[in-house]
Amino acid sequence: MVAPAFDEVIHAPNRLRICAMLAPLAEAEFRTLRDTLGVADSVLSKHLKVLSNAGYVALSKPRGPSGRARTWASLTPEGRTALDAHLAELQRIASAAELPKPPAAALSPPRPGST
Amino acid sequence: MESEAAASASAALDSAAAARRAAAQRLRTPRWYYPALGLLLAQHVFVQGLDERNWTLPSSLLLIGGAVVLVFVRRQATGLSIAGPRSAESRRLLALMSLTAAASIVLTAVVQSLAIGAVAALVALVVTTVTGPRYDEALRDERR
Repeated sequence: MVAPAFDEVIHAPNRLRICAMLAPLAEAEFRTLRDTLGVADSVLSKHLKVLSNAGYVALSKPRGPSGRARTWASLTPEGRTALDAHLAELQRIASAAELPKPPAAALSPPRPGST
Repeated sequence: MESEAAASASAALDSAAAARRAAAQRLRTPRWYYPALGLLLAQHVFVQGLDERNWTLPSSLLLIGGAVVLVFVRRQATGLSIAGPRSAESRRLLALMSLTAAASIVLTAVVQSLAIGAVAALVALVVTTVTGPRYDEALRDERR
């Protein structure tokens, strides 16, 4: 069990989605990440670079049978720990403050002729 | 203010859960993968029943080399790779496939019968082809 800790690097929406997607996998290829997340190449590249610079994501470029290099991304142990801590913190924030419940009048069906 | 932070945290958690489910959903092995793996196994099982032992080495090389190629092609086709089974269900299904393959090979090698070898090869092929997709389903479930 990891201690909750807010992580500014991971918190950006697309970076959180990238890390969450990589978490259950050993590796994911760039195009698969891009298609699943529905973002442009440049957006994904930028966020992967930030995560890589933070030491949260490892990038490799093995050459395929066609000779073209494909980029593969994986979460590093540091990235996995940071993601778990960040998710635990989000969970703590979400459960600490109860969302305001709508007034009882709004939940009850309108009475006929009340309008 | 506090409820705004809670709503924002809930939305972020939902977004992370959706990304995780999307990754799990993509863990779909191509249809040909398990039948091809089953055929590689079946030829190796059948070869154990032959009197001519010279076939064992080429058959082993075909099995190992073929399996390596299959895993590589699957990885390229799906754009994903996973570390291994995590849940009891996926471990059970993997054990079922592995033990069936091992038992078929050993039984055929001990009995040295073409007929037994053919039946054991068929069993290995069917178990791999049928259990493989269930194993994939278990892998997806445990990663959602």
